[in-house]
Formats: sequence, C-alpha cells, structure tokens
Amino acid sequence: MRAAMLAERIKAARRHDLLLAALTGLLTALCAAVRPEEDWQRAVGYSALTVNLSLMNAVVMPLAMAALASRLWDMETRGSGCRLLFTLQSWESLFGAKALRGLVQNVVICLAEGAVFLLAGRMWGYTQALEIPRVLWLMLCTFVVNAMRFFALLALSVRSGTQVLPLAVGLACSLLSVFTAFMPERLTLLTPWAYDVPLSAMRMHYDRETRITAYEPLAFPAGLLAAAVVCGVLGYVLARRAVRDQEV
Amino acid sequence: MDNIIETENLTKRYGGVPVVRSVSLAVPQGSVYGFIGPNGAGKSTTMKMLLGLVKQSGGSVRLLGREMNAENRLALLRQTGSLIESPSSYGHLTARENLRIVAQLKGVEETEIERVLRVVHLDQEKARRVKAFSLGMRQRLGIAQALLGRPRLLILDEPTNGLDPEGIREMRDLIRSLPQTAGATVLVSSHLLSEMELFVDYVGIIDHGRLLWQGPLARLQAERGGEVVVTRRSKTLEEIFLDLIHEQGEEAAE
Ligand SMILES: Nc1ncnc2c1ncn2[C@@H]1O[C@H](COP(=O)(O)OP(=O)(O)OP(=O)(O)O)[C@@H](O)[C@H]1O
Ligand SMILES: [Mg+2]
Repeated sequence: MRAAMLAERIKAARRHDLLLAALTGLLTALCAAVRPEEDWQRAVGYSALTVNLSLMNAVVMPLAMAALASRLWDMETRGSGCRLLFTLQSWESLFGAKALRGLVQNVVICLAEGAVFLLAGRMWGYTQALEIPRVLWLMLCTFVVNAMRFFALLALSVRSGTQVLPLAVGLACSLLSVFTAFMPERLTLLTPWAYDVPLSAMRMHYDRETRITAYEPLAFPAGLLAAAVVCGVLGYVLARRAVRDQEV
Repeated sequence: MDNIIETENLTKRYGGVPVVRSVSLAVPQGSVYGFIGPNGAGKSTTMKMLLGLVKQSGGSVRLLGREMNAENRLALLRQTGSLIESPSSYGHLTARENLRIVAQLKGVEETEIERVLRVVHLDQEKARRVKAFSLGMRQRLGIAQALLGRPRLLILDEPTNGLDPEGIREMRDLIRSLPQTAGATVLVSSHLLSEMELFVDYVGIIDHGRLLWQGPLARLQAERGGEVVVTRRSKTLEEIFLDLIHEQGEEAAE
C-alpha cells in the first residue's frame, strides 16, 4: 500500500491537488460569509455563516467532488493505466490509494472551511461567541457528505470511462440542491447529496416586519449523520466494485 | 529445456463465444517465441490471461515454473515485464516520471530508470512530457517500462507498432539480444511475419482462438517449408502461415 501511495504521489505531480482543494474550501466559505453592516448581523455572524455555508456546500460540492473524482480517474482512462498497473499492483491497492487521495483532499476542503470561521469573525468583528463544537460538527458533516458524493461519482467515472458523465451528474446534483433549500424538511431526506442543509443543525427565521433574521440552534441530528455515513459506505462499495470490474 | 510459460487448455469465452480455445502454449526458457496470428485470432487475449489481466474461462497457466493463482500472481509478475496492445502512460508526466511509477510499484532501484532509458534511446527525451511524444516514442517508453527490473520473462504484444524501419530494426536487435544479455525469455506477438522470421527461434501460430502449430522455427520450415514452385525459393514464414490458416479454414468448412 505504501508503494501504491507513493506511485499515486508521482502521478499527482504538477496537478496542485491540495492547493485546489484549499481554494475550493476557502472560496466557498468566504462566499457564504456575509459581511455584516449592522450590529444585529454581527451578533448572529457565526450562525448566519453556518446556514449559508451549508447551503453553499450543497450547491458547490457535488460539482467539486465530480471534478475531484474524475481528475483522479481520468488519467488512468486516458493512458490505459490499468493494463500496466494491474500487472504491478492489486486492484485493491490502486483503489485504496485513489480513495485515500480523494479523502485527504476532502479533509483539506473541510479544514479550509473551518478556518474561514476564525478568519471571518476576526475580519468582520462578529460579536457572537464562536461555538467550536458547532464548527467541528459542520466540518465533520461536510466531510461525510463529501465522501459520499466523491465515492458515488468515482464509481461513475470508473464505470463510464469518461469525464463527461460524472461532471454532468455533479452539475445536475448541484442545481437540484438549490431547490432542496425550499423543500419541506421531510423531502430533503430523499436527496442525500444535499444533506448539508438538514445536517447544519441551525434554522433560520426571517421576520418580514422587522426585516431581521433570527437563527435557532438545533440539536445535532446524529441519526441523519448516521444515514449519511451509510450512504457514504454504499458509495465506497460501489466505487470499489467499479475498480474491481475494470476491464483492461 | 524447461518451459518458462506453460498453459494447459487455456480457454476464454466472451458472452459464451469462445475467442481462445484450449490453447496449450509451451515457451522454452531462453527463447524468443513468436506468437503469430491474423487480426482477432486471440493473441492479445491469450497474453492478457498469461498476466492475469483477464480471467480465463478454463485451463491453467504456469509461469516461471509455478502454477499461477490469485496469491502468487503479483510475485510472479514481479519477474515479468509486459507491453499489451498500446503502451500505458500518463501524458501529464515526463518519461522519467512514468518510469518512476513502475519502479516504485516493482520495487526497483531508481538507477535502473537511466539504464532502460538508454536502452530504448529515450535518454535525451526523459524530461519531456509524454503527451508530446510520438506514437513510436510512446512505444519505446512502453518497452522501457517492461524492461525495468531486468525481468526473466517479457511478454510483448506487437512491440514494433508505430516504429519506423530504423526503430523496428533496433527493436528486433534488442529482442534478439535479450536471452544472452539479460537471460530473459521473450514472448512476442506480431503481424509482421517477414520481420518475425528474422529474430524468433520458436513460433506459435494461432487462428480463431486455436493454436495450429508450435515448435522451433527451423522445424516449421523443414516440415512445411517446401519450395515455392514459381520462384524455386523456400517458403517464407508468411507463406507457411497463410497455408496453415487456409487449411484450417477448409477443414472448418468441410
Ligand atoms: N472484452 C471483449 N469482449 C468481447 N470480445 C472480445 C473482448 N476482447 C476481445 N474480444 C474478441 O476476442 C477476439 C480476439 O481478440 P484479440 O484482441 O485477442 O485478438 P488479437 O489476436 O490480439 O488481434 P489483433 O492482431 O487485431 O490485435 C476478437 O474476436 C475480439 O473481438
Ligand atoms: Mg492484439
């Protein structure tokens, strides 16, 4: 497995994977962080960031994970890599190395998003107390849902042998995620790729008269996170099988 | 002489259709074995089964004196180099980086890389990205990948694909020299029968998935060679080959 990881690192030369992952996380979270103009906004800064970021993730990450998965696999398709690799390493070690690289980039995305909480609070003087457990929860949920999206789209990349299909599916999921924000909560359970929103454990109430938005912290939905983990494991199994069945 | 590759009734069916039928290859150690057959005869499929890239529908493979199975496969292939159909490479990497991947996975010293680059005359191009390579240069890179780690057995599927006449001659000289210089055995397939004749000492002729003949080239020429009536020269391998597959076709028709 060590050799497989090192080989994968050579393949990643000049691709700037980690930099791209960090930028994806930073930009997504920075777009979600509203610059407060009034005191009440400063007083709910982190809550607003949580709600906005969970929606941003649901919209941006399906496409980002499609790009990540297809970038990782496309080089094997283009260069008919498997024909040579499968004489040198087991399919398990190839899949393992790809999975690990994908998950590491996913961790970088989540860390970058977490960093924006610290950054935004300082830059824009949020007066709300930062609840570290909520930030960690959000990072954990983003990681799990991203892993689900990554594996499912990796399975699609491997099976289809093209970049087009996973990117198209990623884009479709991204667009559909926009609508999940306006769906009744029960319906959102049917769209696991957009679990970021129900997992955020923060609800927004908008008062039309005062034009003030209030935020209600909710208990962490552990059951839903467990469901996301199950979907992630399913995606993992699908991707693993796709690599196993790869024709050479 | 021991056989370095031995298959017994090796068979492959795709969706019920047999494409390799009961092939029993015997490749003697230290030989250059030419595996010849027309398009779609089953050469690549047989070679893929030897490498465990494709699962056989029946029969068995012995490599380097051992029955190949899921457990020992990669260990046996560590002493084997292969190039099947088109070479595998990563376009965004340089020739050297491509070889580093193979060296890493094979557990071979990086100094080996410089050696194989010189053997295939790519040492001047080693820092160039492979996507800018010509077909022939990619083919050489594929050969270099196969040669890494001084394997005891080389399985080369149409290694002269895309090479110019000069390149073909070099490849021929290289393959012919491998048994002496590296103690390697080479199984090589090709369409270029007139070429094959110049550097193989054993041949296996396959058509429609059946092994029609195998043995020393000299014996094939002695048994089947005869003379071409018109020109009174002895038959070329190409002519023997065409005779054999025509006979086979007539038998099948009867
Ligand atoms: N994955 C596959 N699915 C179905 N049929 C296949 C598959 N791979 C090969 N075949 C069939 O098996 C037969 C043998 O193919 P193979 O590639 O082994 O021939 P070959 O002797 O290498 O030919 P060529 O000289 O053209 O390379 C062909 O009829 C081909 O169509
Ligand atoms: Mg072939």
